[in-house]
Amino acid sequence: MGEGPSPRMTLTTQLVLRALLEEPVQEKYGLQICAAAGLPSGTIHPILARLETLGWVESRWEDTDPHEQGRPRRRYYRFTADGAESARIALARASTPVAGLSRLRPRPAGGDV
Amino acid sequence: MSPLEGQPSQRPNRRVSRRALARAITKDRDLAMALADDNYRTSDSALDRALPELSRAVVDNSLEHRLAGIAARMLPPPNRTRYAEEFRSELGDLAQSGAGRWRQVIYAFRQLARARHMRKALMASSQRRATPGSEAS
Repeated sequence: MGEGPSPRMTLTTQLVLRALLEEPVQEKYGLQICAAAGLPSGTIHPILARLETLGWVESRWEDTDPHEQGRPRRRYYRFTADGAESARIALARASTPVAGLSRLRPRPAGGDV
Repeated sequence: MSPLEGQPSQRPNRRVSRRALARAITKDRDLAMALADDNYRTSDSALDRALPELSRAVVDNSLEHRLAGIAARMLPPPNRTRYAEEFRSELGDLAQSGAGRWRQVIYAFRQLARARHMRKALMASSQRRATPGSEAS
């Protein structure tokens, strides 16, 4: 698990994965994911398409009658059984180099131990 | 030499096709009337069901829906219907959440601007599916 192909871990991909990982079994529709990830609407669909291809995320149409709801049915996304774990591993790997960069931060003068 | 030279005249064919077209229209009209009649006999709410669709089609002619439609049409053919519906649904959600017209237009513009990336992602997906060896283990 987690050894298969993974998406390019761009910042937006990481934000989408983190947003979905907040409640991994909860289904979310596009605008909810945008809000949770703090991304502008209209930016997440290419990422979700890639995640879906990798089998990390699955989606389905809302099971309601649009006429009764008075709005078009939503497309809901959530992690697959293995997807959440793969995402956690990929995020941990992706965040490692960022954590390593903290060592390069300038230290206060005279603070050299 | 003219490119039309040596070809049979188009006039007789055109007359024949007009007659065929007229016959087809009459036949289709009869069929449509029969179907409509049957539909109303079996379901009185046929018109009730059709009206929201028609009104939505009129509303969907707005700038944001047209832009979202163009964005969906830029995607690979097998994905167009799904994403057209998804974009429409999100525009509906935006409208319901009280987002103003411009926010909806901006949403649609973003979809349009990202359509190339989306197309690339979806093409890669279909290639991946076509090549089983590259699928996640």
